[in-house]
Amino acid sequence: MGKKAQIRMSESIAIMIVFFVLLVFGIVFYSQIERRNIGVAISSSQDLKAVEVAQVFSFLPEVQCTKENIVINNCFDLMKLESLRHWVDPDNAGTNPVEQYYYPMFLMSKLTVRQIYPDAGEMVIYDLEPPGGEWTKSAATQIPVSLYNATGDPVAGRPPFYAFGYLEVEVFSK
Amino acid sequence: MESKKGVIEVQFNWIFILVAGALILTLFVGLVQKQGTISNQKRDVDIRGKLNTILVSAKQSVGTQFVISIPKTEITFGCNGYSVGGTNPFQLGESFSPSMIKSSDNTLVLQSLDWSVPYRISNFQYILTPDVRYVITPDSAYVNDVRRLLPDNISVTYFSGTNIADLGGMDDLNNYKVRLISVEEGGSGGQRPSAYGGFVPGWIVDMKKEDVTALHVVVMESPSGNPLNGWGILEFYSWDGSGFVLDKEYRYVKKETMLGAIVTDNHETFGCVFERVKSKFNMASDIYRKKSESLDGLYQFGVAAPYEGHCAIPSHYTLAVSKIDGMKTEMNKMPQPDLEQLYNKAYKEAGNLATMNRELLQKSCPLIY
Repeated sequence: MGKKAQIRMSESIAIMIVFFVLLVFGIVFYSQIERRNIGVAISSSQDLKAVEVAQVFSFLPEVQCTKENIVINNCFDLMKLESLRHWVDPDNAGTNPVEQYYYPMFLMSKLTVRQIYPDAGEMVIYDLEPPGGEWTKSAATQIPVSLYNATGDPVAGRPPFYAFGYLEVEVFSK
Repeated sequence: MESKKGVIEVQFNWIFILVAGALILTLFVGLVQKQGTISNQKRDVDIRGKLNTILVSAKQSVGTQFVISIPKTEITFGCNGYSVGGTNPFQLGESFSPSMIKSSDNTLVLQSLDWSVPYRISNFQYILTPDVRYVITPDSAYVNDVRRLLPDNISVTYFSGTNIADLGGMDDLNNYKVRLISVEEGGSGGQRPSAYGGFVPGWIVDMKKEDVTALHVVVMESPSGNPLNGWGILEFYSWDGSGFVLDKEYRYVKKETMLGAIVTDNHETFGCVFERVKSKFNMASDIYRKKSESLDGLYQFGVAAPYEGHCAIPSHYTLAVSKIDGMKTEMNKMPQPDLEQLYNKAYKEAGNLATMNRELLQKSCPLIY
């Protein structure tokens, strides 16, 4: 081959190399931006999921306050909550059939009802925390609720009453 | 004349351009194709996520109908839940739908009703499309009640006469699914869909077998004022090309379960959803049982302070515990739940749960539900 042809060949190869290097740079740059966008989307969907879980829990017939099936909005019946906690049994996370029923609704999350007035107290209703690793926790979503004590304290002569508290939802996702 | 070297050089250049060009072209075609697949998947996942959020919210709004716009897509509904395109299905608990949901004007009709027997157990959700046609057969009883039960904004056909031969005069409205509904008053000896074969119009005969189904409801208990709110038998029929064949029989209790059977055209899917309904019933019953047990412990005669001692007479809370146990037993009977006995324990027999709860309300005592 002549020298001229060799130079032209090298030129073509150099152009190809530069082209592919630029292409690789472009793909890497694009994938980095996409990765960042996906991260933002995951974080916002995690927050959305926490709101969704809070909403689903708030409207569960098994915790809502009712009078003859008429629902009292934003109110949890403490006796129902206690019964639900008893059946879900957060100590046996993942193995309890009742918890398995709730899993598609609440996924990996922790649901806590906190009473703040007149007395302070808290009740963990559902607690399915992941073993660790790459799991991240959403910012806690809190919803203020009334907590109905249907019995009061009959022995002490205290009539039924409404307490004030909030529902806290933390959702875990990979 | 060109030298031999020159000829080889020119040929090599062309081969090089051809190979490099083909490589670059393949790369870009591959990239475009991959991007196309990814964007389709992304669209389906996006629809799935948004639809899930909308459906979850709509499920909580009991008694409200929503008409929502959706992008052009097909949603399949089966035992595993709803699937948009080829995405993983998602569950919505106690939810009823046709096996395939699509809409020519891109709308879905959502309705949610609460199911209480007698205590609130769950919100049932119904997802419908205006493109599925529901035909209430001419010989059907309770036509107005069934029409009231079905949501607005869907395609419902009913007849002014009672002659089953009128079925043959129905016009084709280009629906992709047709479901015939006939309701019979228990013991009246009404006609079954298996006898409709000769009256079905030709355009139905030409439809795909899986797109034509029928439901026959036998109302066994019809409370006054709301005759569909008792209990009865549901018979699911499929179309074999010339007539309707009975596939499976279920029981219903309250109109919400009956509407679920009207909406769900596949008996296996209805069976799956009903299994979930049973689980939810068991769980809700356990919760109300535990509550009644706690109340029973607190309000036993002589234990409570005098001002509330009256809540223990007669001991409704003790009775409620045994009544709820009885209802659970009826629901879990094999091979079919005994919904007649369950209904009786909830509403009919002496000392039923609904009456006890009302009496507790009258006495200003803590309620069972």
